[in-house]
Amino acid sequence: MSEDPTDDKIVQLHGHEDEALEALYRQAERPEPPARLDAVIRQAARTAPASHAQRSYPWVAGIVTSVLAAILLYQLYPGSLPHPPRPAGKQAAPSDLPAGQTGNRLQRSAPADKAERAAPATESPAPAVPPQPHYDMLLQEMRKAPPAAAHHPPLPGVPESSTPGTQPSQHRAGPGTGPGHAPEQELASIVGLLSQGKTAAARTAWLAFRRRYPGYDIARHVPAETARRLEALAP
Amino acid sequence: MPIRTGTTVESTEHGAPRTGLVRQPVRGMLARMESDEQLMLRYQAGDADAFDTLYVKYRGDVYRFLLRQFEAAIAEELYQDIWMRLIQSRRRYAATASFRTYLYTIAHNRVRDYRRRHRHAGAQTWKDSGDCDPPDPVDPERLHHDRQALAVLLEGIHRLPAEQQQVFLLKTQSGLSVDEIAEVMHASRESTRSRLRYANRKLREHLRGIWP
Repeated sequence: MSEDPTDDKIVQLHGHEDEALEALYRQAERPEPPARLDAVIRQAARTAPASHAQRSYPWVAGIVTSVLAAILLYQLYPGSLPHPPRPAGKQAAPSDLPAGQTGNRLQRSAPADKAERAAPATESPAPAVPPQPHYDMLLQEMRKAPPAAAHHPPLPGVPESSTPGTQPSQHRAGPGTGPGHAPEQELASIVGLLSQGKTAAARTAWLAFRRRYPGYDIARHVPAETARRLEALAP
Repeated sequence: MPIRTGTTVESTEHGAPRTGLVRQPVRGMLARMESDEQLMLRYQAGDADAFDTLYVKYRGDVYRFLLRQFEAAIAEELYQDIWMRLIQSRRRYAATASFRTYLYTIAHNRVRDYRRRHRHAGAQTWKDSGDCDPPDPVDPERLHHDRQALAVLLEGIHRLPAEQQQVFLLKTQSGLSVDEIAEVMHASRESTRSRLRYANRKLREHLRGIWP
C-alpha cells in the first residue's frame, strides 16, 4: 500500500467521520472472557514462577548432595571406591581378579607397595595412584620426613576417631605385619594425640606401643623431632 | 464480569484502570501507581499479584480484539494461548518495550499464525484492493437506531481484510497509537496509516445511507 499524497487531506476530511465511527464502535457491547479462562490463565501465571524455581533448585541441590555424599564416602571408605586403571600388563584390575585376590591386593605388604610406587616411574609417565585418605597422607608424610629435621611443626590434625580399629584394611600391613597389627597406624594415632596436646593419653598409648613393638624403629617412620618428643614421653 | 482479585483495578475500554472493588486499598493504590512495565518486571521476578493486575487491566481488550475477528470458540482458544505465551515469555520481556505493545505483538503474531494455518477456512472478507464490494442490502427502516447501525459496523469489521481489521481494532478497540500499531504489526508507519484509512473508508461506505 503506497502512501497517497492526498492522504493527509483525506484524513482531515474524514477525521470527524472516523471519530464518529470510533464513537459508534464504543457503543458496542463489551463482552468479557469467560471465567473459566480467567481461572486457567491466572493459575498458570501463579504456578509459572514457582515451577521455574522448583526446576532449578532440586537440580542444584541434587548435584551438591551427590558431591557431598561422594566426598563423605571417599573419606570414610577410600578402599571401597574403584581405583583408576593401572598400566597395562602390570597388574590386573580388581574387577579382573577373582574375588579372593582382590582383597589380597588391597592388603599387600608395604614393601611391595613401595616397590610398586617406584617402578611405574619408568613405565608410565603418569601412573595412576589410588586416592589416599587423609590418614594415609599423614603416614606418608611421616615416612618422607628427613630424619635430621631440626623442627617439625605439629602434624595435620588426625581425627580423634582414627583409632587403629577403624582404619582401612590396606594400612594394617607393614613392618611386623600380622593379623591385628598396625604399628604405623598406632604410631600415627599417638602422634596425633601428642599434637593435640593430649600428653597423658599419648604417653599411655606410647608405652603400650613400646611393649607391643619393642624393636620398632620409629626414626624410620617419623621425623626426628617427633621421635624425640615420643621418646621424651617415656624415657 | 469484574475479577475480584483483591486489587482495585478493573478493565476499561482502553486499558486505563478505574476505581472498582476495594479489598486491599493500599495494595491496589500501589498497583495503580506502578506502570505496566514495572508490573511486568515484578511478575518477571516472581510476583504473581503483579500479573493479576496486568491481567485485569487488559483481559477485556484482548478478548474483544479477538472476538471482533473470530467466532467465540476460536477467540477463546486464541485468547488463552496469547496469555499463556505471555506467561511463558515473561523472562524475555525487557523494560525498554511497552508492555501493551509487547502484549499485542504476541496477540498479533498468534492471530497471524492462526490465519495462515486456516487460510481457506476463514470468513468471507472484502478484497484487499481498496475497493469495496457493495454491502448486503439492508432495510433502512430497520437501521435508524444506533444499535442497528452498530450491528452493521461489527459485521463490516468482520469482513475487513485481516490487516485492516487488526489495525482498526488495535486503534479503536485497544487504543494503540499508529506508531504502536506499526510496531506490533512489524509494519511501517505509512503502511499502518494507509491500512487504517482504508479500513475506515470501507466501514463508512458499508454504513452509507444507514448511519449517521
